[in-house]
Amino acid sequence: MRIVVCVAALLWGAGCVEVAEERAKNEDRIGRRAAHGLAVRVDEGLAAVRALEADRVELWAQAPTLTVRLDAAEAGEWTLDLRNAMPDAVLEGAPARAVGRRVPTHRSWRVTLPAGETTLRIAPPDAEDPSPWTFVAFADVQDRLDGVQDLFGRMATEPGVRFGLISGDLTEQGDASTLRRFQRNMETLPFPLFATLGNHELGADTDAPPFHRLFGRGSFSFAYRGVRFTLLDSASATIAPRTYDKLGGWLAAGRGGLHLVMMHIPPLDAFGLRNGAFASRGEAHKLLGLLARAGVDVTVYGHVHTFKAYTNVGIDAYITGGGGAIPERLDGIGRHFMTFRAEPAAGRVVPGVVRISPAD
Amino acid sequence: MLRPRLPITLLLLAATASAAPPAGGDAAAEPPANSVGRRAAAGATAVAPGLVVHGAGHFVRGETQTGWRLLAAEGVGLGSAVGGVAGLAVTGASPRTMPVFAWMMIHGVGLFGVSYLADIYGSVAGPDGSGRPLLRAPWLALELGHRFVYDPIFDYGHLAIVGAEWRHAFFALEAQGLLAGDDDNQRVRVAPRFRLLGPRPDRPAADGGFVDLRSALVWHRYGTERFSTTLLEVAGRGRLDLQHVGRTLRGAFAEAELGIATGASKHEGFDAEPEELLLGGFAFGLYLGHARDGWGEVALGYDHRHDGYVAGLKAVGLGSGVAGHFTLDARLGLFGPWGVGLEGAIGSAWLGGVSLLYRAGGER
Repeated sequence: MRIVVCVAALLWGAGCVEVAEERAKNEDRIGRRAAHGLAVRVDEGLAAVRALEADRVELWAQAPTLTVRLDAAEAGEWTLDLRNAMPDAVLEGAPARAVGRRVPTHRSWRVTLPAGETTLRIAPPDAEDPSPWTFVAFADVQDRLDGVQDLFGRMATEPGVRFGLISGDLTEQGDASTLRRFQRNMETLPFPLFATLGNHELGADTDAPPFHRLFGRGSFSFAYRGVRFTLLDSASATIAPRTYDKLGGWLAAGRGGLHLVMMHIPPLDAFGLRNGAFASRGEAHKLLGLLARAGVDVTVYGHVHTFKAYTNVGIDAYITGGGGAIPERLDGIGRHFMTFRAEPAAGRVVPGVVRISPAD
Repeated sequence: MLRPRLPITLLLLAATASAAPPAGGDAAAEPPANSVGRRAAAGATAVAPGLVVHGAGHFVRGETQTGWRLLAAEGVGLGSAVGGVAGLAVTGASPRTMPVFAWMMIHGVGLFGVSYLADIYGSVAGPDGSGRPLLRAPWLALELGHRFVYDPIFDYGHLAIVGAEWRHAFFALEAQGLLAGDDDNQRVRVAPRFRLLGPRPDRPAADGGFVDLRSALVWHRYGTERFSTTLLEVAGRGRLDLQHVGRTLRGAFAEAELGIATGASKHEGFDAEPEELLLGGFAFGLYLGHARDGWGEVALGYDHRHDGYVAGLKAVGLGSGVAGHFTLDARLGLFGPWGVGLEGAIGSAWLGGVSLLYRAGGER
């Protein structure tokens, strides 16, 4: 069945050279919605508006720090539910009362809004702290969703982790129900996971996949504690021309500091003959040249189900595809995730690998 | 771009021919059924049910032996493709085994495609086929033309192409340059080639089939993007005239290629880094025309390479990044040594173009 889906997808896409552009256009709609006398807009689309009801807004965060603009037709009190939040996130900008929730990454407030626009800033207290800190990264859980707690359980014991990054292929088919299952599994973690999508997330609707609705944008950028993070949608083995336009601004914002860029399909495979990589070597080099000249320090990829450390155009590169999907054999790796200790003052990011199970 | 071709597909296809003599087939002494109605029915059968049962058109035409051979080729192709995919899945595309399984997949799909197209062609073709091959290769071939490229990632759109090929006995040296007129982008290819079997300028061959060992040095500079790549290629390439499979396939050929490329990429201000490519591909083609002093052929092909102006297909979903590109290449002599070439390709970009061709020597 998988082969049939592969061939069908291949034929469907054959001949179209702008396969990611419509998806990139649709991304621009993520992070804004209006209904029931309230307009919600999240700066940079860093959260998906998952629900907007008569007195409640639910957001799914894709960054540790958010700026949320609420434009109310009338003054009133609203519940703001923020899922995938930093557990210690604080809301500023309007009178608010925190509401206790069972899940550590579910933050909730009753917010009193005046008529007109109110700007809320939601961030953890250490958002600007330049001292060393840790984040984790992984990819390619796919059809091993039932066993993902092996991964999450070990991650949860890792000391000092502030959040995790997923470089795509959370699920096998990218359907809404499976993505929701993934999100329910995430609730056991004491920190949020910010994700870009992989080719397996594209499912039946490659222009507007359920990932957009449930997680948010595939291409976005944010800064936290002296490090800029840029996640790109490379799920179609290319970057949409529209995303290149945004990338210029993100690279400029990250220049001079630590900058990590993550995407699912690597521009270049560490093993070139395989080409688990961009469809075009020319585009791969164009993108890597942009990243290298902008001083990007680290690139992290998924898609290839192994761990590999290499360099692309002088940038440290890591493939971390050990989330549980069919592993690359004979590589001696097995399931794993990566840890990164960011040291902004020293201008470096120190990588580590945590193995969950030995290689098959 | 350069048409792809390879030995494994050809060997498999040749195996299905069971060493049949040229123009052989069912009841070789009798001509194939050539009524327009019969051929139309056979052609329609080959297109639709023939997609599943290759050779179906030939069964309708009464060419059962050729039909069985095409069906066998389909089976071998499917088996090879499925085996390749299964091997990749089981090994997780391990670098230690991946090239073999990838080549199995590529040429399995190639054999599947060639047997399908051959069934359609052979179902409708007349007794002489679409044309005859050059039995003696030209000693010189020149090309000057224009290529239009649409790639949403790059600024170039118009390329000048200039090429020359010189042959002496079993040796050939090919040089080709592509130069963007509206961007700072150039690609140069120099390719020595050794003909092990097939037409040469100094002596005629029995048919148009050949086996070549080739190398190439390819340099591609992206001035605007400030990088270049340099690759050394080694590949085997072959062509099989399909008249060996059945008499109705006179005028058709299949090609295939297998190889690797290795080299380096270099960005301005950064150290060079290694670069490698898996080479492979296949094509189905037809010779055009029967005039003794004419020449011409057209081929529809697949090229697995992911570099160059067309690169790999931008497929959505699970197939993202895997496939190479498709090509359509036609070359036809018009006035003596002068002719025209047409080229189209679809991958990460669309490419189309026309060339003025000149050939010295060569005869059918």
